[in-house]
Amino acid sequence: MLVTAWAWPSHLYAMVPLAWAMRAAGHDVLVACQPSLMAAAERTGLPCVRVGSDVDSVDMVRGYALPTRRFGTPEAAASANGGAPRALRMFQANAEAMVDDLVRLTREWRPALIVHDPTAWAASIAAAVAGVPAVRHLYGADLVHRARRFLPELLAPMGERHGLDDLEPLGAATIDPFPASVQVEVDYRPAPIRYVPYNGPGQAPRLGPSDRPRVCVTWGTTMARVDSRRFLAGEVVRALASPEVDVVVAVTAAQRRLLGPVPEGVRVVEGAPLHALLPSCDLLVAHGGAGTSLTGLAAGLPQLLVPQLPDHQAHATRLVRAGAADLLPFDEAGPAELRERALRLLHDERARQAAACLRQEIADRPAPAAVVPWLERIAVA
Amino acid sequence: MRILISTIGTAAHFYPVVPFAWALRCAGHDVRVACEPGFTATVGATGLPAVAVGHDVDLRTFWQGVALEPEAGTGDDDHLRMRMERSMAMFTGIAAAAAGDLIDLARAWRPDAVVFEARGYAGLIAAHSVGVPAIRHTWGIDTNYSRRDFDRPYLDELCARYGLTGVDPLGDLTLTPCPPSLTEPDEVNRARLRYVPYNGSGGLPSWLIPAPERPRVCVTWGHMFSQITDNLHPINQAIEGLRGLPVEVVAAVAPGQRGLLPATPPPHVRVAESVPLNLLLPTCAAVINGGGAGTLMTALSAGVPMVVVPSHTDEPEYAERMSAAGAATWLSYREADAGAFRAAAEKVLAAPSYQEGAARLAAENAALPSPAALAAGLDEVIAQARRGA
Repeated sequence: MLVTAWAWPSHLYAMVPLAWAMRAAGHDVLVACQPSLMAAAERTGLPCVRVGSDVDSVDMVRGYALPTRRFGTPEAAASANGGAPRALRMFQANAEAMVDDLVRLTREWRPALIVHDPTAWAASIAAAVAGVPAVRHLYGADLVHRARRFLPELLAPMGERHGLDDLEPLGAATIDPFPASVQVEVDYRPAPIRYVPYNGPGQAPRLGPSDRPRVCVTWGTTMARVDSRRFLAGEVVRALASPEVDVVVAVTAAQRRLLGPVPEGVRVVEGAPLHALLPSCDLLVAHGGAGTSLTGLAAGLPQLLVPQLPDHQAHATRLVRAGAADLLPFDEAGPAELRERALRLLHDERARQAAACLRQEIADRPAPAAVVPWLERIAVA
Repeated sequence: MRILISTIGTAAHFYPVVPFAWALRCAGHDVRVACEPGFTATVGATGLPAVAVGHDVDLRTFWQGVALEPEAGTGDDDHLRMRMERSMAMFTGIAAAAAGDLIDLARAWRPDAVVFEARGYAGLIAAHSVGVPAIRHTWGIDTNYSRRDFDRPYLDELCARYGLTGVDPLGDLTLTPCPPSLTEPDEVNRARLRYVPYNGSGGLPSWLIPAPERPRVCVTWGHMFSQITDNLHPINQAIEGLRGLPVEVVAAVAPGQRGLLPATPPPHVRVAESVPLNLLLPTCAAVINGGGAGTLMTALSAGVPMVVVPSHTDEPEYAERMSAAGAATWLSYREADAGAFRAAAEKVLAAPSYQEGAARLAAENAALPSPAALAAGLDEVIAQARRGA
């Protein structure tokens, strides 16, 4: 089984448990990714191979951050927009940078199927050229499905170059870890999978019990790379620190210096996988990235979210609608408001129940290991 | 369920457990790998969550002044006994550095079972302290079984420090990733599983994807040999011996070992640094190696005939069993010069019996339940461990 994502760690991470499930069932698994993702891919423990070249995706993401009064509206990306949302142009650029190598690799390594990040479109081309099934593995809401009318035009140049005149951009099947009650409406039947969090390598912290409610603050891995001013973990921590709550802030080693002064009593946990930290917490305060929010839901945590990218907004909105989260627009996220909303959510029994329902919904889906036989049938067919 | 995994800080001991640990995660169980602080980066690179317990132990301190060969006036048997004593001093020393803290972790995290690699005795002690099944995971052939009577007094003394008596060094259940034909009959409460190799993280180099033009022979000497001896003479001898044969030679070395090979390798040799063996060996016609369990079991799972030159620990046992199964030929460390390597390689490449023997073992391995299948029946695994307690 070939697994591929464009160079964005969280998109790869969503597929790691299924990839390992295939390997633990005795199959050969290979992760193909661009050079800048190789280090993260190697640390999943999976065999990996380099394909294509890197694209300055961080700069492109910067171009579509949500407008705020404080930071204004990002300048339009330099490239012509042509009507498709900017994020789709970025996916296209990455697909262009990967596709020729991926087609060659697929011919030589001859996988029985390709499982891919829904925004890694080079996989659709490589699978079609090799005549093997392409299976999309979602990492959250199926936002690509919502934008599917743009895909034929975006994929056409690559398809033509590789002699394809017909292409099904949504592939043979879709594996979906996002709970059905919060997923967008789609016109296909997804294969459900239990979200088993993989948040990157690291050490599980040993926090011990607390007699106060524990709040975890994290700003994921994306925002600090896109725009360090939008990395709000430090501001949030300073707003929330008080004798009433046990505040824990989870950061990567590189983010540590962006936190600023940390109030006494707040614990900074560096390099811990979130899934090893959240089960001991009562509330998650974050940016609304899919990986962070899903890991929070798998632990049954209500969430206070301050979205800064359109996909954060989309995920956060869906959790709010399910009653498990509160959304605070960036311009309103001052210290008093953050504190008040967090405390309100901590004591909101309905939010706690809604989050518990979503956790149960996740737990009721088949574990990655149980999806393996289904994948084997697709590979054979 | 929550499963706590305990390992000493050595890749050779930990890597064989990785596929089962991931299989547990993929089946929806919660897993933590407890190890000394200095080993958490190696655990992290498997993608599994590490927890630091106890303090670091420098394994070299246990082996200072111990020669590979018996010194003058010491017989082979005495030398072996001295080495076994050093081994147990080392493994119980490592366990003592972690056990107290691991017991604390087990009390706080409340695992449903502890899986310990065969020498991760801190895990055995923690399991007994909190009263959950202790599941031993071997790194292939269960070579510790025959040493259990020798090992026991050392372990009894260690256990007594934690108020425990009557602890069986073999645990309540033994998981053995190894074909049954390689082992002798025993009386251990055992479940077998397929050996699925994990040989560390690393990229697949592009030269490895197309099939080789000539038969490929891998020469590799694991991690431990060069750590103890500060040389890779056997690889250099083997490379010399293979010169002129119609084969492609790949010298597979770990990151720190490159400097122990010639700065400019001969033209018939390609050096593969940090390429996981499970990616390399399936493309090979033979593997010449030092008999480490990880190398041999990976070769076994890929059905590759072996030339084995054992020197340390349980390597001689592995070499004998693989040879008896028809998949390997082995050379004495004292006789392994370039000429002997050449003759052994020619023999293994020419005689179909080695290929057949290796294929038989690979088929037997493939027929065992995968780590995923075992993890899917974790309830039954734990019930079997309870029956063995």
